[in-house]
Amino acid sequence: MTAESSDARLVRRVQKGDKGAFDLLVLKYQHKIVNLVMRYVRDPDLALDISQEAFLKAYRALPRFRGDSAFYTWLYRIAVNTAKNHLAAARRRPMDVELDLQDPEQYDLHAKLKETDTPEGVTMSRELHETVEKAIEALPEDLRTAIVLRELEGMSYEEIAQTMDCPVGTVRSRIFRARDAIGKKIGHLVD
Amino acid sequence: MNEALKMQISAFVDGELPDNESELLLRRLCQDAEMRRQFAGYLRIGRLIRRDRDVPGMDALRGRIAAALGDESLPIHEKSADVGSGFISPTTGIAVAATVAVVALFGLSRMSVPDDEGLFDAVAIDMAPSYTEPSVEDVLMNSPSERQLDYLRRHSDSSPDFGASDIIYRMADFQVTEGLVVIEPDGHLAGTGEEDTAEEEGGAASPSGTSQGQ
Repeated sequence: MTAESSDARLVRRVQKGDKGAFDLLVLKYQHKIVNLVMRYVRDPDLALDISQEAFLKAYRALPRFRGDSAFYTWLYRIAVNTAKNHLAAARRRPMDVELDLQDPEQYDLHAKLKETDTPEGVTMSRELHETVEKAIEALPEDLRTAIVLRELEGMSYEEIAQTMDCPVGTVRSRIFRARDAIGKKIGHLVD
Repeated sequence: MNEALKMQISAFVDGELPDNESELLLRRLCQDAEMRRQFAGYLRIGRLIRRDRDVPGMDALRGRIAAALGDESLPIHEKSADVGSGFISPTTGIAVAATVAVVALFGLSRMSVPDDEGLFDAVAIDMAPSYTEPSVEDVLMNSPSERQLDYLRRHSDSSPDFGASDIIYRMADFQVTEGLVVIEPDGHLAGTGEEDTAEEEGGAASPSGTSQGQ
């Protein structure tokens, strides 16, 4: 099942009153939406507020969503409009001169976040990343290759299966076991 | 949560779960908060591996949205695809089935044909007119008693000429007192031969056959 078709199914469930389905959509897209909004506002708290408002608008507008476009494209437009409306209301200009709204992934969020991270947050983040790196290094080679090809190279299971010369089911199992192992290593930091 | 379920969630995060497994998993994910936590955990591992940066306070966003929504529910838009499944509610279905069963039992009991000729008689009676025409013999055989005739005569004196009781009186009086009615072999009422002839010849000129007979 592609992400788009699973989104379509989740949307249908939300339209029938399933809030758990909307929770899944929030889980799936909250980081993308917040990062998108951060291109318009400098304050992370404000970015969270605007993102929250965008999700609420999306939820209330979902009965009218016909599925002509992908759910994320639709949500993306709502988030951008919400951010722009907020800026207009605050009589401020967007912090970025020109934004390519068709490609939000190209924007460098790191530089902006570095300005706002707290010392505690920086320490926690560093510790988390070090733990994950160590967990990946400790993985058996077949698991490490599978998870890296998936998460860093963005390959599909089929492509990974061809690369590693193994069945797709084996790829699925290896990626799961790699995640499970990493999850156990970082559990105490994120819970 | 077993390993197989976790593996399904892992594949779902990647959009790689086959359709035949996805539908059921989606349903369970929507209903089970613990499974959604697992889903969120795998998404987080991916972000950590990619070194994605999170906005401080990001982890609270999901809870804030859920709290803001509270008990708010969407107006449910039932599509035509859903109509088929919910066209007849279970209660309605049971009621319809019970009605059909009762009608079928009742109808069969009436329509079944036992080897009983009496039933055909009963059917014939049912189909007969709701009124009966007494035969001439019955009328004559059951002629009123003297006491009845006396009552009818007295009653007729104070009744309208064309009332039902007056007609009965006249008929009874005509039959019994005047003795003008005879019964023919075929059972029909008939007057005397002279009377018949007089009616045929002068009926058009005289308003009453009775006056001619007298």
